[in-house]
Amino acid sequence: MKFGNKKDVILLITVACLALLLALPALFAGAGRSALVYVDGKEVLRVALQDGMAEQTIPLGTSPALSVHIAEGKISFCDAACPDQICVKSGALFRAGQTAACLPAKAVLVIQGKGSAPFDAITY
Amino acid sequence: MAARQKKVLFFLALALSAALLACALLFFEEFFPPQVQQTDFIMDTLVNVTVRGKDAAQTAELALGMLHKLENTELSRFREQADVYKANHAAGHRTAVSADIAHWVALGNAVEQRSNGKYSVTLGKLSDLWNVNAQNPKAPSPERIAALLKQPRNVSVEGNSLTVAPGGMLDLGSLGKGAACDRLRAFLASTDCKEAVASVGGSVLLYGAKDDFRIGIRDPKGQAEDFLGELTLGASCVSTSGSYERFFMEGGKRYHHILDGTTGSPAESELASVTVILPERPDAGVLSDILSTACFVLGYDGALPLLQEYGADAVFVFERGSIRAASYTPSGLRFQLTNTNYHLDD
Repeated sequence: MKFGNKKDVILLITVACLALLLALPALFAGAGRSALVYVDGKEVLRVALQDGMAEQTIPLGTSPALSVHIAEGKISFCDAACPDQICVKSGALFRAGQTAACLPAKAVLVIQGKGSAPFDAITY
Repeated sequence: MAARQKKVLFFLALALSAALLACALLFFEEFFPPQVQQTDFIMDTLVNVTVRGKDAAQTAELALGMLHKLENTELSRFREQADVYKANHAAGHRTAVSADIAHWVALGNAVEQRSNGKYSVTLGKLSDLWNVNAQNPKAPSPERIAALLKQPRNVSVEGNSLTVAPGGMLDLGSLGKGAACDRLRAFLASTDCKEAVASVGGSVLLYGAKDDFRIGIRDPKGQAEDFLGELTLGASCVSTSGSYERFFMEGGKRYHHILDGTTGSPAESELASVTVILPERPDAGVLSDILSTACFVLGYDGALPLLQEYGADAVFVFERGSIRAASYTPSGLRFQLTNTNYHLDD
């Protein structure tokens, strides 16, 4: 058979578009990254991380006191009242799979989303 | 060709594309099953469980619940319902414990013997005396340390029961995280889980048929996001002991949390950290945890016979910045140094 007919082309394009449309959600599912903050195992905060987002500091209401700081698509622990400051030293997280934790405040920060985490796990 | 026939043909093509797409999606589900990551605080440390396979979310949740139970009913020396607490408060009498606790303590005792007492599971009173995690920790007086060292502190294992000498206090902090990895492996084997990675503090369980899990070893002198190098591993357990994780400074001296059972003070080897790897076996987790602590206390030369005996691999990081790898497994050690502040020394 011969493909050349206008109708054929339109139909082909329609099918291609349909397939692309169906595949879109899968392609973009990982584009957004979110930061999740857990305190004592419960989710207390969920923020979508975007590059141009406004800078903000959010207190977590823990004891010892602890806040998270969000700026330029990155999130970090800050203003920790604990002596060791291990969580603050973890720095700003932005890559999917990164985690930081504050043991005294039982707070965990996790970045979710697709993207390559550098390792399957970390030993320390 | 008649227009009508053409139309039929195109609808057939359309149906075929849809079917292909559906197949592709099913294929994707089968070969890239959903992956779920859950995080919690258990045993005073961060626990991260990543499960891949059918019912991954439920499996991860059950796994974390199981670890909470392990701490509350078996491992903890602070919770009254736990086997270890009960054995410690039995005034020298025999106490029934779980089969696993008995086995783990027996393994600890074996390594205590082979390390001439430098590693021990009965240093509870000494670590309370040092209390490195206190708000304002202070080095205790040599007299108080000597007094505790004089008391007999052994724990004996008979079947599934323990007897702790009145002067001793069982503290499974040096093996609990690895033991948790073993308990997790046993649980995962009873589920549909195909692949999982769990970290309980610095102890890591790698589960599944994959042979190229990538594990980062943290730089002992850097921050949480700084790495020393990378391990490529199959199903196995990995544990690290380091002097940098919990410590305090006093008079310009650093006092860390890993005690030498013969001196009652923080171990003075020239090591910054030791990472021990054991290929999959029912007690790979607990052994990797025990051995990483024992190797840290023993130092490089003293540790090698122990690693050989248990068929383990290790990465030693020296305070002066050099790194030595040791391998006693048939498959060998796949370690890549990625940090230019260190150099391989062998």
